[in-house]
Amino acid sequence: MELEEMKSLWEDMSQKVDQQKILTDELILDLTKERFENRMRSISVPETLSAFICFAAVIYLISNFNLLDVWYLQLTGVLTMIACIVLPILTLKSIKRIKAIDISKSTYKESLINYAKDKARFMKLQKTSFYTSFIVLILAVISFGKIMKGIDVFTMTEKLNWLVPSGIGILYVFSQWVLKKYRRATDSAHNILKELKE
Amino acid sequence: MHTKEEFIEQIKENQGIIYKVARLYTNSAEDQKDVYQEIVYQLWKSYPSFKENSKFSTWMYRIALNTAISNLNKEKRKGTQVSIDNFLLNKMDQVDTVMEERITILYAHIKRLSIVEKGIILLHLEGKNYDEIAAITGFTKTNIGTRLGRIKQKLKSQIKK
Repeated sequence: MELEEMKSLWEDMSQKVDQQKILTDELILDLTKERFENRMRSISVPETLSAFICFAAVIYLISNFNLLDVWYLQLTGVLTMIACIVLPILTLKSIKRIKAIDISKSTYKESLINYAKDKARFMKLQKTSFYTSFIVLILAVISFGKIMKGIDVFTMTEKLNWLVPSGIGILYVFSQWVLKKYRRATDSAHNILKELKE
Repeated sequence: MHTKEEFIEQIKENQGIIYKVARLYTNSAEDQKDVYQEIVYQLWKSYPSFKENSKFSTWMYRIALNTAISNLNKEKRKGTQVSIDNFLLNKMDQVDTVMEERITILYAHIKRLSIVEKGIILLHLEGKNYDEIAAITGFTKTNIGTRLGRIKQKLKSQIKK
């Protein structure tokens, strides 16, 4: 296929597509309305629900804080609470930022720059939240273990002997996968920005 | 003041643009439908900002391309979709098979270009001149010329292989 042939084929396709006036008034209205409702629901519901769960966990921890009787258990409790407040707020803020983007005001070039930067930022957030979630999980198990079952994980040396190494092993395997994905995405974002500067 | 009726008319008149952009930036029929729907939604949302002194199709290219790009970063959030399956999936079926095969090859060549180049070649194939491409993309006219030259070289060597 030659370049000129490409252009004439594109013209033929355009003509055919234009001839097929299949979009109806009703369908166009549906496409705008349902999309809007769908988008609002799909983004807001799970995130708000997760935030509520986190805030409920914070309230539970505060009301049972007196059960965390040793300093290191109190420390894990405080750190769990901070994570349960900060993480959902950060997520909701980033969703708000995405929703606030005005597509009509940017050019193709600006959109590409935003795309590349967002891609890099998103992967950074993914990487950070991966490690944070792992730490929060450990902290939550310690705090809730003490409050709900009266177990002080730090005194269970037998279990710690196999729990700690296997936890580190799992973290290592998954972190390699996350880092690989991160490097690939940031390389691609970097290439787009480089190409735009040419 | 723009009316809903005017919007519908404009969309119906320029619906081919949405189809071509959505197909270029996706790799499956499902994603294509999703992007198609998203473009119409963004057009409707941005319609109040459309200024009469510019051409509707030029404005539409800009929104469609920007939406397609911004959609690349989003994770798939599937929910209820408007039943656009029939017209989107059958649209090109009405064209003869040989032509559809050639169009698929054409799209495959363009899709191998970088994300920056895809939009520029699309506008070039749409018959836009350097001024119009520059207005939509934000690149300078000289830059468009240089990039198009490079894209043509790339396509030539791709086609030869």
